[in-house]
Amino acid sequence: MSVDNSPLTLPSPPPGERIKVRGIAWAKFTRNRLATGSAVVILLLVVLTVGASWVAPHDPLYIDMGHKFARPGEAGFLLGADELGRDVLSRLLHAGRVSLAVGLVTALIAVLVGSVLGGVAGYYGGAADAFIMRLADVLLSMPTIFLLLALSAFLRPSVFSITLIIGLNSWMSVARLVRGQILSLKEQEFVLAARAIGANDRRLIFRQLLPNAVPPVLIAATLTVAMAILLESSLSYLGYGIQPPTASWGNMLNNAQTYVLYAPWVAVYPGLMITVTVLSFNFAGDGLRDALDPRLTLT
Amino acid sequence: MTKYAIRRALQAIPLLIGISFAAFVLLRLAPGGPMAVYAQNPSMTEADMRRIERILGLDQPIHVQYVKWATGMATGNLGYSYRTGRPVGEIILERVPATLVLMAAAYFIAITLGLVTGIVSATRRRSVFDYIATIGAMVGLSVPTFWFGLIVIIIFAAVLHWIPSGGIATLGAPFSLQDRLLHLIGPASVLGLWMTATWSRYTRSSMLEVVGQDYIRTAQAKGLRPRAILFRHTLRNALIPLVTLAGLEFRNLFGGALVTETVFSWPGVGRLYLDSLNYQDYSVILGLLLFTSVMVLIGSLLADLVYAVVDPRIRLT
Repeated sequence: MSVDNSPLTLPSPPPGERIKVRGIAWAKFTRNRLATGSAVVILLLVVLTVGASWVAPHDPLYIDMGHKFARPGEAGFLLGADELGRDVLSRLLHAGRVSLAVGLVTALIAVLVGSVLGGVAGYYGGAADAFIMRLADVLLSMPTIFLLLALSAFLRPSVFSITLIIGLNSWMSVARLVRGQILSLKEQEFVLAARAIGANDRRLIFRQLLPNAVPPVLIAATLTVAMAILLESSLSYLGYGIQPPTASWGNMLNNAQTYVLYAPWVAVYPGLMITVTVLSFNFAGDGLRDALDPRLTLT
Repeated sequence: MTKYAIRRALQAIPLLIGISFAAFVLLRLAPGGPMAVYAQNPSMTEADMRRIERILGLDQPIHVQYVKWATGMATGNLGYSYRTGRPVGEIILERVPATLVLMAAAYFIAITLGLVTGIVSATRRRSVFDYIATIGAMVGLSVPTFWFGLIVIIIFAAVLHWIPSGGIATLGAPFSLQDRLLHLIGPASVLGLWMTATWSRYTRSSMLEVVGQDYIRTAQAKGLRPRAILFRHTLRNALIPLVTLAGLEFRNLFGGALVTETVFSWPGVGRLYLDSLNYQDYSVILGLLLFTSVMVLIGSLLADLVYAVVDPRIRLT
């Protein structure tokens, strides 16, 4: 069929309209000081941790027993040294790379898997819908940390496997969102029009229906990053996440409990980093929600 | 109502079968699997391994194993611990009270604190209090539980000596309620923190939703005192959707409890789970995975039923 070349395939709103909507969303987001501040913090964290090899003053794995538990500011250790004399600041930066990567890739997996499964469930309905949504129900009934711990205990934990299992446990909310969106959209005129022109299922799902689900999915993705970073840190703290010597913010706190009293800096900084990062993603997600909500207008 | 309750309970059964099957297959397919604990023993020969496999029934096809395990479960037999040989059900049940006490205390803290903050936030919208409460709730949701627990231990146990740093009671001391409560405060507040955050946010938005309704305007037009409107009309309606929240929280609560119990050495099911993982005590892991999921299911079922009772607008069909 030559349908794909037809100029009629995409009944989109007039271009001016689009820019206006985006402009309002942008204006609303930038007016929210917490959200913009958070976006800046996230950007800064990404730059600092991606450039950790250049920014970090020391080798994060270099063991220097002579400076074991060096106090912050002592002997060139800006934030102190840990139980093996490793530089806490350098470890924080390198660990951040791992923690942020786990969070972002998890969100990517959640969005991809969730969109496809939610799209299929919503569009085709019937048995596919029933199966996918019951699968989501099953996963949503098992306490996340319990399930993740069991999985990573019996797998060999690595950055890759941890990301994968968190990702495969996070797609449910995206799937529900996409499914709901598609259910409400698929009988609307613009979809019927596209179908009448002869667009096939794949084209209908990916070109007509999914783009409309982008705003809520974007918000869910941002909040998924926050949740994934928290989950990874809990798993790593419990010893079933990222394995040493690779540092993650969670596993830096792994043994912290034993010497937290005479070297509190070893425990305090990684937790602060997690909190600041997760908080930023949560605020950014909230800001996005306010900015993208079509019911609210710029006032 | 009874009919509705029975129907909702019946709907949970396929879900339960799905959960048990998923848990069973996931763990059985994992490399290492149930035999991992034996494989670590150097004096085990290949023949020994095969024999144990046969005794435990692990040489049979997976669906046969599942049906055997599931029928045992339905009759209350969760199998036996690979480590101690004791019945799994018994091992779990002796840890349940500690976790329930912890969760109940956390719920209590979260609901009272969350409701009050949410109500004040909603009635004084855009005030300094509202602003601080909103940011505070967000921080509460973003702080990792285990780290918050560590900080609480540093400040309140190590520096100020107000609370003990862990455990459920002073070792060797005779039972005393005061001692128990003192041990409970730390873990309960840590576990209650993020729940408080969720409760205050939900209360606030639920209140604001109701305030915009026509019947509130009617009440105001009638000249009712603001206090009467707040308590008799707004709050009563705003609390209804929160019933659902109480049910939904249950799943996260178990995860939070596991972490909190680890930080505070609280002898509940979360600690048991982590210990069983460390020992690769396979049947206990599976039993706990199922037990917690069933509790989550029961939680959401109860929330649905209570919701139907408290909201007269819901017609049961």
